[in-house]
Amino acid sequence: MSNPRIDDATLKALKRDVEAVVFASGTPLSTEVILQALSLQEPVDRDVVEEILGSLADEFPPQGERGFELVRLAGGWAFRTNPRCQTAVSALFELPEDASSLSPAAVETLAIVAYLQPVSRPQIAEVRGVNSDSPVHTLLEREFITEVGRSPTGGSAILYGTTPRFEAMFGLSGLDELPDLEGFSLNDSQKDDLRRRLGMLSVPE
Amino acid sequence: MSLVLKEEIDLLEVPLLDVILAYLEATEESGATQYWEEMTEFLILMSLLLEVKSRLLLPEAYPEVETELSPEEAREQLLSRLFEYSKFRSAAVQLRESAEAAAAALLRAPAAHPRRRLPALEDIAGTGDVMELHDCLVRLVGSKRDPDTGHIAQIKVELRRQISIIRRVLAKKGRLSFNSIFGGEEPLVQALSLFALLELVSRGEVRVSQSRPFGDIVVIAQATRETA
Repeated sequence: MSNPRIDDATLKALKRDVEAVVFASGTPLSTEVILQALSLQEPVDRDVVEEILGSLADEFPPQGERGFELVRLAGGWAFRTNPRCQTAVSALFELPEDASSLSPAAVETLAIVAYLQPVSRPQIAEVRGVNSDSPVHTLLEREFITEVGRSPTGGSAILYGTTPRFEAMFGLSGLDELPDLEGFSLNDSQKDDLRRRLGMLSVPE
Repeated sequence: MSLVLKEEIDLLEVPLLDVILAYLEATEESGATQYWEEMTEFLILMSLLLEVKSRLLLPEAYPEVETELSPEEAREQLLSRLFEYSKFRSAAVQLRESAEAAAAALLRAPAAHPRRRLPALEDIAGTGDVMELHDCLVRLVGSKRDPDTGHIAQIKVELRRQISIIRRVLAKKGRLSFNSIFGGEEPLVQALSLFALLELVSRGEVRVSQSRPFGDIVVIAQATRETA
């Protein structure tokens, strides 16, 4: 790692500071906040900090040989324990709640909000084909989604979006890391099967 | 939607009873806690399926209602919704897997001490860092302490008590310096002590002298003391 603007000693000290700040934070820290914490200038020092973070990520790679890893999470950077050490860590600490306690309806609703946000309850219900007030309530309580505004049409319905907590809990660096929704489309064979079951295709002899 | 996708429903061939039984089985398997709510949702779903099925079975029963959908249109609509829904359903499976993988790692709990540096709100606005903005607001609100009302706190001072103090000191020493006894007190206490002193003067209990204006007051007990 080298930067023509900064000498090696300064760069090493800066790297140490960045590492310390991210470690001390405990929650994902955005590059902007790191710049601010270290009294660095945007945008001139951004490249340096990002280079440092990249270098640290190489030193603490996901599921590497270290006990913890540096990951991009919820729009920021965070140290977390290596998932390979789950058994050891869980012997001492209670691991955070995961989505396993969410009902299938809640996860479905969450997926709809994640992909269609900002989205209203009627829009969610339309996709799911059923009233979705209960899962929406659960997701609000768990702080996976939040109100993000009001629909300019449709009677000012409340619009929902996902929270940074959702990204952190689902291991996403940001919403752009969500897989392409079209990738989940049924293939032609599955579609034909559905058509058949709806009586729209004759059953092959 | 879910039941149709799970291939547990063939609208034309499967009796409604089987659909209900399949639903109940699925509900039991999933351990749905919101049983009554789920049931309500199920009833809504069933009414939709009933309508579609009745259109499939008895298409000629509907043609007179021009505003309603034709059986083909109803099926197309349902199919289109199923296609769309299936994408989110698969995405939900993927999400759950992501969450389970993420749960294997432990993030450090935020440092017990609040961060010192409070980024300016205008710097955060527009960065899209909602969590940072949230943290900032929480800390701002949390850091508000109750206003210090010490300066307007009621000062408990009574003329009688101040008279008593002066009398006690004089009884021991015979004389006193006003500043040495009351100099460090609040202005109100000093003022009331002065009133107390004047009261004692008026009663002839003490004699006072002041070498210069605004200087210290020397108080000397009179030989004969009158009582109030």
